[in-house]
Amino acid sequence: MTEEVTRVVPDDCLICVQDLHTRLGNRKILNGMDFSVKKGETFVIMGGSGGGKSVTLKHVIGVFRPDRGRIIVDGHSVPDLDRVALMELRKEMGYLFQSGALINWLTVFENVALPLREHSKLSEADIRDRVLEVVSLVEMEHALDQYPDSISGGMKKRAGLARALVTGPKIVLYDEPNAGLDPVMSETINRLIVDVQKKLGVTSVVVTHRRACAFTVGDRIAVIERGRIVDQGTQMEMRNSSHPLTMKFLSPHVD
Amino acid sequence: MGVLNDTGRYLRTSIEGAGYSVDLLLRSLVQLAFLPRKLRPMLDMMFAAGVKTIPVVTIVAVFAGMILALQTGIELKRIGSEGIIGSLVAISMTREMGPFITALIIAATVGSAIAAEIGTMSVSEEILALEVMSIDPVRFLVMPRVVALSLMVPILVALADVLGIIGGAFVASAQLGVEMSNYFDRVRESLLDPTALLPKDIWTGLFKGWVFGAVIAVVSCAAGLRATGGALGVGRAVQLAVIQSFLLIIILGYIITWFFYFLVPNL
Repeated sequence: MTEEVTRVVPDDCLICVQDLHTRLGNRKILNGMDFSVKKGETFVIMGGSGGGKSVTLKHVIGVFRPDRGRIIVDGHSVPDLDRVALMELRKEMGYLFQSGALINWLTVFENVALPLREHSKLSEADIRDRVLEVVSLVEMEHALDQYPDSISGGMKKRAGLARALVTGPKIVLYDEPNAGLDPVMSETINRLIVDVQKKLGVTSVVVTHRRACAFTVGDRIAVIERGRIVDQGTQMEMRNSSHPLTMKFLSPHVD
Repeated sequence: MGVLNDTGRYLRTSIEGAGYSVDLLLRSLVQLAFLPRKLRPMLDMMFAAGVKTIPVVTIVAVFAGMILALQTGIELKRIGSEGIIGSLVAISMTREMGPFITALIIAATVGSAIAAEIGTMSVSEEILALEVMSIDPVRFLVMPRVVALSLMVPILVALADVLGIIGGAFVASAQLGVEMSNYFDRVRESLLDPTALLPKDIWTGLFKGWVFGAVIAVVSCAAGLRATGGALGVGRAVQLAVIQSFLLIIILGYIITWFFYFLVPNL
């Protein structure tokens, strides 16, 4: 199955989503979602709440299975992978949750170290070095011993990003990285996403409804409505787009 | 039709829940190979379940022994047989009351806390975060709790047995006029079996504690992992964990007694 699919996916495509349809309960969430992301590219998906943005990301990482359609990640057909193969593929991916989703009874350091402690055979000293490296990337060195309950929303997201990056993933998926943050912290997170892409060369998919985020981090931007992409292109193409929804989302008066 | 629909939905949910719990137990057993890497969370759980519940277990066990001695002693004294109170308290505590009251306390205190903790993790996407990091929640959360409770509950049962018998001794001597030495002679006679290393009444009680500990952990983890819908969902998970634990403790308690004393009495 995987071999058959990889033939139709371009070589430089790390993530390829084709004609994805999904129903959750009685509601159709995805209705022909179609996009591809090249290696090293940052692809932004914009759209209103309930439009299927986060559900799309969860399909890419294999949490949801589609009713119909293909999801190819790094040459693997995600819905066809067994549990072990899916776990192996997920080790190549990082996921930043809307809330950070830090384990509340572990400190920031323990949260970031968690994937290494569970999966690698690194010594405690090597784990510490690696954690300090990624924590300094997100400027969280001062909060290593704090618990998630005692840090701000922005710090939780930065700690969550450090945890997503600590294993050196090829792909990072960002679910609403700016949600619930003030404009200054939003800008900090946007800058971090750009820094991560430049320094580590990861491939990213960013789901957001913030225009500033899309224009700061995105190489290409897509706008979705009712579970499918209605417009997509480079920043320049999207700025000049005449699609009414794109104009609405990317209007400076809206953000 | 509404009642039928509701009943059908309730039955389906119950069967699904039972199936999920059994699956969780089996998956925990498979993960036992990773126990050496999970000793720290297991010991933390043993501390939370064991050391922190000792005061409650102590008070309840002492009073359970006192009540047993008083209730039976009043009637026995009327027929002049108060001398056997020691035997009654010892057998009742070790075989039934010790495991039963300990398991109820653990279900209400530790089981509910496990369901709330894991339920909160479920509704705040922390369980999902573990899965996307390729960390199996069964290995990370469930297995250490199942092992911890199945080790700790029998220890607490042994403690409850001893304290219950001592509580009964106070009532027997102070209120029913039974000599303390006579009471403990009867306890020794009824429990000690010269042919066995551990008397049957004691080891069946400890076995019950082991089963109850594992069941409370699995049911509470299952309720937490299936929690959805924010704070309300966490509340429902706690309620479900306590109700299911109580029901299973009573039903399994009966089945284990029936198995060891009626089905294979010579075991």
